[in-house]
Amino acid sequence: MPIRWRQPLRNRQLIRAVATAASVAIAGAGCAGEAQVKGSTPDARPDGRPPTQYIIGVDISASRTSQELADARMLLRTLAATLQPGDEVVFIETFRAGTDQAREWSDSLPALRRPPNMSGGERRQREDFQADVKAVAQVFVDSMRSKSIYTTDIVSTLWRAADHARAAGQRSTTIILLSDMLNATPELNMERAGSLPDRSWISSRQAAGRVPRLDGVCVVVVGAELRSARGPRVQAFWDAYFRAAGTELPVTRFHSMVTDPGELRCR
Amino acid sequence: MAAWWKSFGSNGNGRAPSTAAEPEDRLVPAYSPHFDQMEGGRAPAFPAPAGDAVPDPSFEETDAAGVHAITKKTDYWFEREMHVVEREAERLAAEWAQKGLPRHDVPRTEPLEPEQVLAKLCEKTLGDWRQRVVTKMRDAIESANQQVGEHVAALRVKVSRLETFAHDLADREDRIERIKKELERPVQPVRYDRILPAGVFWAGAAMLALVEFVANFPVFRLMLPMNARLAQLAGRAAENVDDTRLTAGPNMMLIELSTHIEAAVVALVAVTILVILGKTIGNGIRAILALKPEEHPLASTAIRSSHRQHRLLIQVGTVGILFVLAFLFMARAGIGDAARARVAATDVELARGRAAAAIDNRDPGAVVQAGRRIRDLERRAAIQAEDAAYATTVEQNNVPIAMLNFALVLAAVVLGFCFAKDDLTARLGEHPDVVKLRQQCLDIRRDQILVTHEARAAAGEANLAISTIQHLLGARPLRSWDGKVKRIESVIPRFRGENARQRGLDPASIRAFDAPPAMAVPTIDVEQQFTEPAEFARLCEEKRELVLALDRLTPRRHADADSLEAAVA
Repeated sequence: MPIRWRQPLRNRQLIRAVATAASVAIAGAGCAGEAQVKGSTPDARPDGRPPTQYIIGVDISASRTSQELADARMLLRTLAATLQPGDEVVFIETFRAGTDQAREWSDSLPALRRPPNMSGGERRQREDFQADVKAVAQVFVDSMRSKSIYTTDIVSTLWRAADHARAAGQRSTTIILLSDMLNATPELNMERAGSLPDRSWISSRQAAGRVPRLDGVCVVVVGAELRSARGPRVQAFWDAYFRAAGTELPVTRFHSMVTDPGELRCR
Repeated sequence: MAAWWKSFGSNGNGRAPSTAAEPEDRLVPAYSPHFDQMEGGRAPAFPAPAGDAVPDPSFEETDAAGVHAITKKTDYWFEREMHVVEREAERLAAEWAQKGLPRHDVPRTEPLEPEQVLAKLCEKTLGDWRQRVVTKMRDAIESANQQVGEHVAALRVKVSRLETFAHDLADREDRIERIKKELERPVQPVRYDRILPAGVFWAGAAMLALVEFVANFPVFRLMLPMNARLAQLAGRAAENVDDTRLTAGPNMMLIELSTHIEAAVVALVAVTILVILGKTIGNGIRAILALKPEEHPLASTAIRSSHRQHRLLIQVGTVGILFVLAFLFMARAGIGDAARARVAATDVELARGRAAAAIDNRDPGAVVQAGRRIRDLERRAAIQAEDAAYATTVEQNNVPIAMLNFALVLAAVVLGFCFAKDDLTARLGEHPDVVKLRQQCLDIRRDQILVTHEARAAAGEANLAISTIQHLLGARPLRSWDGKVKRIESVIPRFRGENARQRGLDPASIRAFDAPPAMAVPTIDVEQQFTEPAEFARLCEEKRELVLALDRLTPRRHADADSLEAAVA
């Protein structure tokens, strides 16, 4: 007599109930996951910082020492490690007198598709972006080239930065000037003693519309020369200039050296 | 005189007396106008004119039975012998006539010497004729008696065979009846049921298929690389998977399945073949083991038919499984080389990329491009290195994996075995022994009819031979002796007449011919009867009894008799 499996009616009902419960649980987990995604803030980022456009002005004129350039490279590497999806980086080599061209490079990281969760691809993109920024930083902050650059046109660099800032979109813009902020052009040469202009110079230029608009932009200077008496005067001049441009450059953002990228923000 | 007698021999021509059975000794005069028409000394097939060649009765029907056949030959023989004697008489007459003998004026008291010779020849001829007739009659009777014996013996053998047939037929019909009585009892169903319920079977089959697929898909994924576009699509899809959730693994698996379509299809086909063929083999084994023709004679035909079909399926399924397992084994053996080759190619490309990136480049865009390319190559190399390590592991464990595959096939066979069912109760037929016995009865009846015909033929032949004997026993073949006597009595007058004619005389004027011819004709008993052969009566009685037995054993009218008779005819 062949073996027969006889399932009582209650066992079949039990199996059906268990299968139904399992299906509901799996669906519920999926829905909860979806709910988690749907309930999150579209712009939420892993570190809570909003997307930022970093416009990095790189001054590699001869007035910059090799140590300063090394510090700048270090800072840029550290900054690159903090970049997140949504950020944009623009490298601008400071203009020189007698030419309206300067090297530039820009790139951005797309925002998260399902914030705050970062997919593996997005993580890889971020790593690539950070590596790119570090590589470009090496190219821009080139000690070998600085030996042949004798002029520094920070004003023109700020005009270019203002152009990029206008295209920031939803990002907040931070201009990081890796420079000693000594403009050295025939029009404005701060390297000569006593050549620092006064506020009227700024006012006249503002009245003539020759001051770029940098409203809402956070400006940070790294590499300023603060040990001498000229340092504070330079800071004051640029603070007035930036106020005329719609922003400011307080002492707290006028640094000689920065090691923590957190200091590159306007609080 | 003595020399002259010797030259004549027994019939006067220097030769021995000839018989009708010896055509080469048949005497035909060379001067006969028909001589040229003969072949080998045989007379032409038409009656020759009197005095010329004697027609040979051998050209007529040789199978003529009865007294006539015998007397015809003996008459022929007699005519031929008498023809010789008459020719001798004429020759002697001519010879004496040349010598002027006998003298016409001298009476003779004693018969002339030629007449004596001729008389003796005639007497002998007549005596020989009688003897020949009697001998031939006796021989014919004996020959017919022998035929009676032969036919009766044949009839006896046929009747004995018919008795054996009747016995065998009765025995087989008894056995058929016994089997039919046994089969009147209630019949057990011819079936076997499933051992496993459907739910367990399908769950097991699904699990087997899943295990096989999961085990074999990575192998085919390594063996069948994607094209570049599909690889990009797969990469982008994989990058978009949220790897912080539990569903990341299944999502990645689904992406891999949907982008490695070729590998997925090949793996699916291999799995399907293994599971389906395994189940089929299990079904077939169950069918062969569960039902045996010896245990269910009534369904033996249906069971054997089922076994034939399942046996073919088992053979085909086994061949298919062996091919698939061999294919998987060989595929696994070759993926390591392919994977390592890909790793080597990527390493070369990576070295080239690094060399290009090492060139001092002041262009930020070019630097970024080179950096990205190197990073992509490094990632690709890492994945390929993992694949190569996996392929090497698979290669090194090829035999254990093959054994696992075989074990999975066995599991499919077991599932098929336990899930098989069949019911042949509706296909019951006749007991095979009944079919066999019925066919044997048919063969016996066919042989019965054949043997009956032969027995009847033998009986008919026996009757014919008996009738021949009875006819011969009642015959009086010597009644034609007076004609013979008259013939022999004409020899001497022929001598005399020819002698006189040669001499131009009247036979009556020759004094030596005054005395009548002296010829002692032997007395023949024309009513001589022939004795019945010794065993004749016994044979007749035996034949009668055998015919009665034949009538008793002649098969009854059977439903198949008409077709059998027609077939035998």
